[in-house]
Amino acid sequence: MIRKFLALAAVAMLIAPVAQAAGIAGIWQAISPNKLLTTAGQVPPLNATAAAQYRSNLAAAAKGDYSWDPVSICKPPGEPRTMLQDDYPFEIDVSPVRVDFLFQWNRLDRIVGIVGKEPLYVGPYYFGASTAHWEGDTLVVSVTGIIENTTLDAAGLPHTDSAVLTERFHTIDGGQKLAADIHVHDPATYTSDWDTRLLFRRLPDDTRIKEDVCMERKKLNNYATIYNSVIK
Amino acid sequence: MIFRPAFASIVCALLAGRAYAQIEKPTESELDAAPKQFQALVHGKSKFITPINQGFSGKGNIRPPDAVPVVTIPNPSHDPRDFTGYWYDPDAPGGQLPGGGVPVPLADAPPGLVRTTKIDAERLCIVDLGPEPESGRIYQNKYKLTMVYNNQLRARRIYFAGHHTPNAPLTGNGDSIAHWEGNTLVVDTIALRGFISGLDATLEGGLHKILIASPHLHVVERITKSSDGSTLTDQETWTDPSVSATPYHLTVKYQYIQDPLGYDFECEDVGDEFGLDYGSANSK
Repeated sequence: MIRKFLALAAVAMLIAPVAQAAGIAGIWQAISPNKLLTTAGQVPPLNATAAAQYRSNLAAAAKGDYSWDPVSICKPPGEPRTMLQDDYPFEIDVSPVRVDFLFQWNRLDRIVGIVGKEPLYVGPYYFGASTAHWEGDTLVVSVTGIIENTTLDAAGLPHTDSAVLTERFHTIDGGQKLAADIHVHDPATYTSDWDTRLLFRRLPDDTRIKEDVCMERKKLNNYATIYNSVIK
Repeated sequence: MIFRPAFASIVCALLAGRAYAQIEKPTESELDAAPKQFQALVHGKSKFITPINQGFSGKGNIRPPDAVPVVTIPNPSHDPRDFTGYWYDPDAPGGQLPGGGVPVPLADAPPGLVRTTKIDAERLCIVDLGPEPESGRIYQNKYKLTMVYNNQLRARRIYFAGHHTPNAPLTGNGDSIAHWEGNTLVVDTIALRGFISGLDATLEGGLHKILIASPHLHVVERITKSSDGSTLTDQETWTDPSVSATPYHLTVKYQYIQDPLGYDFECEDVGDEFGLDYGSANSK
């Protein structure tokens, strides 16, 4: 009997990652605003230089000037900002070797490899280079090498490409919400490390992710003109 | 979904009223002088994998062997209706692994479906066609298959549904629905728009072959899995009566392999660094 129990326990351990996977897999929509605050509700502890940059970004945005923001010309919003883009849900799919974050916003995809060792660094990248593992039902992702000209949020919170984000993704409220607990380590930008929590609500599994082509939405290219040129 | 051919003849579109213009092919030194993110994304490791003079796939920044994940994929499922896994077509864009060649899918499609143009749609980040054969990972649940292509990391979704979405908008992936006929997955796609370009090497005079979706393009795929689970066979029929009376038949075989994880690649970066003017950054 004990042998049988142990065998069943071993099987249960083997299939555990699949159960974990089902937890965060699904279609999610941001609840949190696209302006990061610490878990205490404070503006993150920017150093003087970064604070000046942040104030400049905020002031420009208040005047409708987004020239500081590459997202306005369809460059990827980066991490974690892409998850917070207004009204754009994203899909998480999980396999034994990787987790895909499939964003509606400009059809961006972020692959997080369950690699077990540091990835070869050849960045920086918009989503950075990610290394992930499971801790129970929590996906723990270490992100390095995020391109410096992205901002952490839509308000323009800066970072350097030496920033290290540690993200912990897990569900709460009976699986109906996704929490991303993020620890930010970027001593070149912040006077101390800080933490924030992002929340997302689960959308029905049959929700269809629409096709978003940023270049067309922003009228930065003209599909019809190009199409007609080719047809002629 | 291709970003395959060499940098020859980067053509910039007229964006918001300006004329198309030809941009010279960048030199190696110009590439080296490109901003660091561009070097890293496109020139750095992709050069290692696919030398620039042989072209590169948009998502050709495939991790070299020493960075392959240490978590090994399970053996393929023998369930004939379980398509989950990474499926590799050595002849498809995004299928290039180190040592692989530069594929030319759909290049032998009949005239009419394929045209010749000076416009290089790939350089313009124009929406590309989902049903094009691609290597990538398939996720599957009871509602849909999600295909995450290795090339430029775009996702295509195929829904298990009995009928198409009424008045489906024209999109790059189109409206794809699927049903099972025995153990064959039959995928029917309409409402397509977009391009497949770079169907062949750049032609004389900076011309490109290009496949353009008219609103009448209809693609039917019949996908089956081998009994040992290691191969997917996709028999595709492309029909567009508005441009060709001849359906185009294509068979693609995919192998089940370990995921070759890629890095970010953003089409917008390529155009930006090589002179495509995407307009003012002051609008939001």
